[in-house]
Amino acid sequence: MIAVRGLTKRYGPAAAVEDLSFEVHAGTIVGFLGRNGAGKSTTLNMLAGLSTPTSGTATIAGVPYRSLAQPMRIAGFGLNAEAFHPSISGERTLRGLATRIGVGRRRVREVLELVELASAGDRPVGKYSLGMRQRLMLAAALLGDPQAIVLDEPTNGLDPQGHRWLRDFLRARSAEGRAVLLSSHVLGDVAETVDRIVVISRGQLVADQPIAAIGQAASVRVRSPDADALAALLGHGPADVQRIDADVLTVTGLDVETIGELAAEHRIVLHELTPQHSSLEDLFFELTQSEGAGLR
Amino acid sequence: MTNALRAELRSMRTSRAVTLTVLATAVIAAVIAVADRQNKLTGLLQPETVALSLGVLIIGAIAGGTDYQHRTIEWTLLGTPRRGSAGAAKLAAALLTGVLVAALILTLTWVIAAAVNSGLRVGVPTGTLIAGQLALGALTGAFGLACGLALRSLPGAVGTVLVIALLLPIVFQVKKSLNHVIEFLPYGELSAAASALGSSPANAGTQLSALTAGVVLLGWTALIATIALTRLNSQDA
Repeated sequence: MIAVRGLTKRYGPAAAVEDLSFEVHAGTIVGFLGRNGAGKSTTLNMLAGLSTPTSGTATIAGVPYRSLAQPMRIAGFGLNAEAFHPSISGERTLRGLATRIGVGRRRVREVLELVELASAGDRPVGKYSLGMRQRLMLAAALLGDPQAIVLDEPTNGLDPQGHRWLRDFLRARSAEGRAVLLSSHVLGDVAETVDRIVVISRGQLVADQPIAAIGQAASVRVRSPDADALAALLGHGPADVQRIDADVLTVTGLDVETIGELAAEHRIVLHELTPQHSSLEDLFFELTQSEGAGLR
Repeated sequence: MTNALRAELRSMRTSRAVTLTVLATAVIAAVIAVADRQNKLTGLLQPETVALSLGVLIIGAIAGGTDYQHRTIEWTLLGTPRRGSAGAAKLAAALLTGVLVAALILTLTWVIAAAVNSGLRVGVPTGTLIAGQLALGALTGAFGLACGLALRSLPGAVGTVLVIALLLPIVFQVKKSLNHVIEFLPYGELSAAASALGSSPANAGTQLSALTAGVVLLGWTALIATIALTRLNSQDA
């Protein structure tokens, strides 16, 4: 549904985004992650046709956004919760947009109710909290009942109930078969919401993988009074064995069952056998560490 | 394009700044018409037309600059991603709004002049007068909007049209040797058109004809609009 291929954006000699490629399929939610200034918003702006790529393509349903006949019916973008006229009410704001894309007033009421903003629809946007503006942004993105939804930091300003509401909301849209691309700094939300993650650092892709793979055990911590013998035994196979302490090893490449069976077979006593899970946060910091070092 | 035009007209209609500017222009025109009892209708038309053109210039500048002031240009371009269509819809909306405001002011002035002066004697053919006023409204609206789009700033656009409309004429009045130049500057020809439409005898022979002034204004509007549309089309939002 959404395809980014070889996307590059340069400002003079500096590349904000460089040779970036990823896809978002219908019925899936992809988390788009990166540190501040990594190029996430630049990428989303190019996808929305607000910014022109230096090279590469960003397409929705196979077509650049600017070339879509009825763009907001194909893709709904929520890129900036501040981009509203403060003296105009939320409902009037949506009506103006509805006129532009050719949808009726009934749909305006529908989306206001969908994002639970109907009771505040007649208030000027300037009097909205950030969380309410985020909901208005989401309502605007959904106005055309699009097949793809792209949101940039939609959880900013939301209270804990709002975070949960948004997670459930996006999961429901995904279950309807829509493609969702979600840029967010709130890794906990991302981990609980998305199916895949795309991580960029300095404008370049550093990870594109299913979120489920992150939860799998990355290594196994083993404590044994006969650590030397165990290390020698496991070191013969495909595993990577690292000595952490006199009696502690970290084993990568073998699961707990295999290590336990091998130890029993060779009569090696084990005091601990613990799978070590990495979190999305661990992975994120690991992948973007060099960028942070560069910034400092 | 039709939806985009309807959305731009709706945006003009719901803008408080535009509404207040229309009301202010109408009030100024009405005050001129009531206060200037000695003159016949034709004498009223010059200051009233200057008020009209200044009001519509500001309305256009507001319409062109507001989208950038509040970043609503993002929604405009998400709804109408083809930049040419988005820009054309904005220009068309400014032209139409200029015509409507001109018709409102002309009607208002005419009614007041008829009531105060008990007559509707016009120094130029009525058709020419009406067509000229409506054309002036349309072109000044488009000119103001193009300034807003080209500068991408509401304060910048309003400031620029005020400098063009108010400051430059004063500078050129002080420098009388440059009087023949001002007629060909963006606001000078507005004044010339106003004078010509109003058939002010005092200015007869010293300023451009209404048609020539209109052509000069059209040229300036086309130039600024081309810059605005080129910028809209080629630069990131």
